[in-house]
Amino acid sequence: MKLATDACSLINLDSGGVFANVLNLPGFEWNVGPLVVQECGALQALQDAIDAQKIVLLDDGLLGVETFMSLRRKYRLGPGETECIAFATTLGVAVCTDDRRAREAVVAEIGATRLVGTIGLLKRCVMSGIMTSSAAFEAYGRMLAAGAFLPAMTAADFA
Amino acid sequence: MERLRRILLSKKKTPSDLAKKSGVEMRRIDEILAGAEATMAELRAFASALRVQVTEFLEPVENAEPVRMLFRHGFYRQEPPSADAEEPVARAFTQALELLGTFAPPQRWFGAVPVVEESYKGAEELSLWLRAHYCDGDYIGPVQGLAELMEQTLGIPVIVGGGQIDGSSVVRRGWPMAYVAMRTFAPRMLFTLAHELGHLLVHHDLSREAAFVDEDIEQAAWGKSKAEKFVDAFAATLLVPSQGIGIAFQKIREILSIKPDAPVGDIEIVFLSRIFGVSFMVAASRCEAVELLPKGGGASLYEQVKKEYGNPELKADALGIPAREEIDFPSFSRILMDEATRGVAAGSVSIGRAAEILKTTVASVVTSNRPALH
Repeated sequence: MKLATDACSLINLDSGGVFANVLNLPGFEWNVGPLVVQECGALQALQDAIDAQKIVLLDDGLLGVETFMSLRRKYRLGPGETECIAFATTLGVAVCTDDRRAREAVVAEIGATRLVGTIGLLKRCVMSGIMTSSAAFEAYGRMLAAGAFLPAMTAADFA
Repeated sequence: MERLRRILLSKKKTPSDLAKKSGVEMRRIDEILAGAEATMAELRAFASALRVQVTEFLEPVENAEPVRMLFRHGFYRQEPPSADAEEPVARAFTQALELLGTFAPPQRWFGAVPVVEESYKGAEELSLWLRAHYCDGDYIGPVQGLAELMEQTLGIPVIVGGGQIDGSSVVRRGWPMAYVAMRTFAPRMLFTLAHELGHLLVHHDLSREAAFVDEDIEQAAWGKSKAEKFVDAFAATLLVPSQGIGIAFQKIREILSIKPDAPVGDIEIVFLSRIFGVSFMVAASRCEAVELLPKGGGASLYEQVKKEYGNPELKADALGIPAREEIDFPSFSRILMDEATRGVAAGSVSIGRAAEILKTTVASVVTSNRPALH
């Protein structure tokens, strides 16, 4: 699955200490748009991943302003979140976001099958043996401690 | 693209300048200006070349018209500001309302504000009331943390923005809010904020939507309405309290070895202005009000200082008068951030949109949601 990833999910993966693990998840191609990169500011893990070509910078020369603006008017999201959905509608990629409002917009625009978030990714890491369930739950706890806006989960949810 | 054209005009740049700086071909810029659809990559190149945010080129998603309507019907207004001047302020208030909940919290101070006459004496009574109730009864010291006081104690969101308009206050959906434009001379911003607080305390009614717009806070007094003069007096007496002037003068004269019976000179006023975080003219006007200076004495001293040193700050520096304490204007309103984190959790606003409105980073919105902070 080819993903356009937003800033909050990248920040959550970083604060959970699982950035590198999740990027190694089989079956996913990681992409990020220029506005999301701007929103992430000095997120070193993102810069390292782009330098190492683990995350590919998407070409926003392919995005028309009208596409972007109509999505912005429709969902009133931030620039990076709107950019993710614009890439999804233009290039057919899926979207990775943890933001509740952005997730609702993704479902409405392209459907739930092309939506992922960090909790789903952690669960996939457990299923594919990249991480133990307790490591995934601890990562989730670190994300919450750093301020992530994530739903309440228990250790059993990651088993 | 009308917004691109307007930004070029406001930045005094030509399409050819833009082509050179952005790397986008001149022919393509002409096409875009004539109405062709730009790509997001082109907009980013323009934004980088003109040093603005990409979103500046995009049509606003918020409808600022209701706030603009309040500006147009602003009380005590003499000249309406131009649409260009009022746009950033109207947008800032509208965006703030996007973050604020539907129901404003009850404002404890509202209803408790004493009824005073619109005179200098009344303004001083009001500033003493505020100091008694919201500054721990401190009738002497500077109030350089006014923005924090308004936010944390009075529950008034303070928005720091840009643009030509110095300040504005608004009540909308029951929320009182103050706007102050970023200026290089922070004392001007502090005075503007105190002025807006005066409007909110006396001229606004939380049950009625209204706005005040103050384009030029330093406009000469003769051109101002009675209401504006009143809130100027409130700001001056709040920031430079009468009791504080007396104590400060004693100290200043001790430090500078000036005889107690010597007439007040520009050096003491410069010193006083630095202690209380106000301009020379505000400090001088307060000295006139407490009869340490004759009427018009402040303006004469100001002219003299300007002639000798260029401006009072240069004189203060030349005389080695201690530097001003920093006047703190937070980069974003704490109230708006708290409301934004609630809104993000509830799904009424996205993290990215909240960060955009607060002019901060997505990481900062996430950090504000750390459990220890709640």
